[in-house]
Amino acid sequence: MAAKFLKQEDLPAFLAHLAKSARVIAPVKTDGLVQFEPWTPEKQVELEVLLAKQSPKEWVFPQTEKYLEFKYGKVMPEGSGEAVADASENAAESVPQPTVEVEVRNEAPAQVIFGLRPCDARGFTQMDQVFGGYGGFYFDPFYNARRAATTLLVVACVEPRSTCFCTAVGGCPAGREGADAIFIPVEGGFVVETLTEKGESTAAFSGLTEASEAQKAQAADMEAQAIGKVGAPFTLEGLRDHLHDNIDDPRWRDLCMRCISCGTCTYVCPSCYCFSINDELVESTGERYRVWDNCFNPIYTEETSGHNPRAEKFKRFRNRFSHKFWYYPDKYDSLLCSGCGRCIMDCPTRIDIREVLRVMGTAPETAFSQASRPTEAKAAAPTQAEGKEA
Amino acid sequence: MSRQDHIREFAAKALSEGRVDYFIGWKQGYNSSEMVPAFVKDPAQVDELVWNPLCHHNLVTFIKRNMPDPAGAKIGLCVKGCDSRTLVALLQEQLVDKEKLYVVGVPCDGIIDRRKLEKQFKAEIIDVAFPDKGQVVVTTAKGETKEFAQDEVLLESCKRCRYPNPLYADDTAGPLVEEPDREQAPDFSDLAEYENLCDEDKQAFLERVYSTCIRCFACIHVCPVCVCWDRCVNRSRQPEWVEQKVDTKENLFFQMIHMFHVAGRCPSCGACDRACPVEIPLYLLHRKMNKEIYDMFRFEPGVKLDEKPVFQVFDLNDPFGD
Repeated sequence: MAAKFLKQEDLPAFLAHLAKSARVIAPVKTDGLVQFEPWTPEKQVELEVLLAKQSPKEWVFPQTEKYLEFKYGKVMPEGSGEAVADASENAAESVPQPTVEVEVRNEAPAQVIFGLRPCDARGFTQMDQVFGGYGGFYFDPFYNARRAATTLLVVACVEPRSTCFCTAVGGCPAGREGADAIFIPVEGGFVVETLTEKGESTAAFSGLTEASEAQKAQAADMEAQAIGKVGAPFTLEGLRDHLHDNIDDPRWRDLCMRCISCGTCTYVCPSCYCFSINDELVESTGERYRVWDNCFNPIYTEETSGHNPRAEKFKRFRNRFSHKFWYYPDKYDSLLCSGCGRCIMDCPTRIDIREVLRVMGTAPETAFSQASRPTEAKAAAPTQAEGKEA
Repeated sequence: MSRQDHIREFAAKALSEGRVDYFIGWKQGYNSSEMVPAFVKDPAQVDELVWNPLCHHNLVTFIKRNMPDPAGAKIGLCVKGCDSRTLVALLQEQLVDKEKLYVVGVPCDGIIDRRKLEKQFKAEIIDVAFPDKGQVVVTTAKGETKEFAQDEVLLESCKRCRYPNPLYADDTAGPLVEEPDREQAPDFSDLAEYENLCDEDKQAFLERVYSTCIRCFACIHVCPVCVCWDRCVNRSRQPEWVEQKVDTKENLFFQMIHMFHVAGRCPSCGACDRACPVEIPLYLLHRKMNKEIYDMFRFEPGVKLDEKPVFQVFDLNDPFGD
């Protein structure tokens, strides 16, 4: 579809138009903090701050999501009348039988997320693999119902931050991956490109005009200058192999010394998706829900036996980066990082993923420092297949 | 000799003499507007250690149980006044081994509030410089610069600091700063606005701020006196007190448990407040807790090494119960 133009002052009317047929989620600043939340006409969409504190993933993958409700009961077997258990051979048939009623909850309201950045949208496409049955693995009905009901209207980035690195992971400040439409800021408004059918029907707004050649050229310039502002702090080339080879490398321990093993990085990340499932029961009524978990949680891998393969912090630290740049790409043909840099900005000790990948993307270190543990003789480097099982 | 030079000298000496396996201080982060904790193992690397009004991290958290790597390492660390109070609290309870520590005390004339600075600008802050004492110069990605007086942009906790000089140290990085007058009782008048809220408004305020909590546990993990951090009751499923479900009620309950567990050991250093990614006013709430403790027991946590923690003593003479 030909590029359109939306005037800046028509933005509230556009959002109001969207709100007629769907819930609109947009970045809103409250008390100085910008978060994605349901938009209503009295709220102002915040687009001058580059990134909302958290990614919009919670609107497709809620932090707490109820799967089902259940209620235990008991019912007397048929024909037992008033009989209670007696010594006859029919005793078992007179005993009350437990029952459980289950009601599955799968809510997926129609929604439009407006004002997310290309890295946010890319986080969704990356998570789509693991939830979407890629490779014949698991298909998650809850995620996919919400995903199908969601339209993503991306706003391109004009002023990337020093913490951005989308281009280093194959993205772009005006990246279209995952977007149903992209709004590129130009003078006086946005050049609008719809990219999918969903995007086209959602963005069918009477206030849109044809974008002029000058506006289209401005959009292209904007994109180019934004790309120029994003650094290339590490290379993906050979990174997976180095992560393989560096499993026992003592540099992991050095890099994670200031990590406090909280969950901030995973919870603000557009593509972290680990979760735990719990049943909560009060007397005979309960619910089953899933809730975000994070791999830095000290008991994340604690098993029922009490054994914990990642009791040490450096193992959990190593796991997060290996998951995003080695295990996940091996299994799902996709990285699990879109370069938004929230983990850098929000980490209480500003651990820098770019530094980690730059260091661990080099050959294993042979000199061991005093504080590292004694190592066994290194086995031959694992093959790709062995790496998959790791 | 600047405090920074003192720190580097002490660190280099402790490392080269083998007094410590590693030395914890502060260094520049991803740019010159952020400082981060630094872990130095090699005396040749001490030049990365810095001291400036951005060095807000309380480094005592890194000597908690299961934080040192390897376990049992001899550790050197820098402490400001507030940090030293958390160290004294841990020593009072014998939760850390004095023999394994080399403590460099850093007298402090205030840490600036980077979050407050951020809110003054639309563009990203890329540099914060201190050309002269008391002077803070901020530069943004757009090239704007603005100057502030340090006193205008201090952390809330620094505005009414009663202990700017470390209360425990093996060596001290330079001369002490002037001690504030402590004849008067601590001034908690900053809490008046919160305390004057009626019950409904207070409830609404707490619910509003705790609806944003994402249960990341940054507050728990960054807190030096939250020593059960990796086996926290808040994470227990069998038995379960706080549900894993993230909602306002559970979030409030979780934070209340934490506050009651650090009560009497928390000096409201504010590390939790600075770590919180969603800016929950944790400093305010912990300070309120400390006001209650002072009113009840006339106790200031982490001040006297030979004092027993307040909830381990029973004193008929304390004001509580009057």
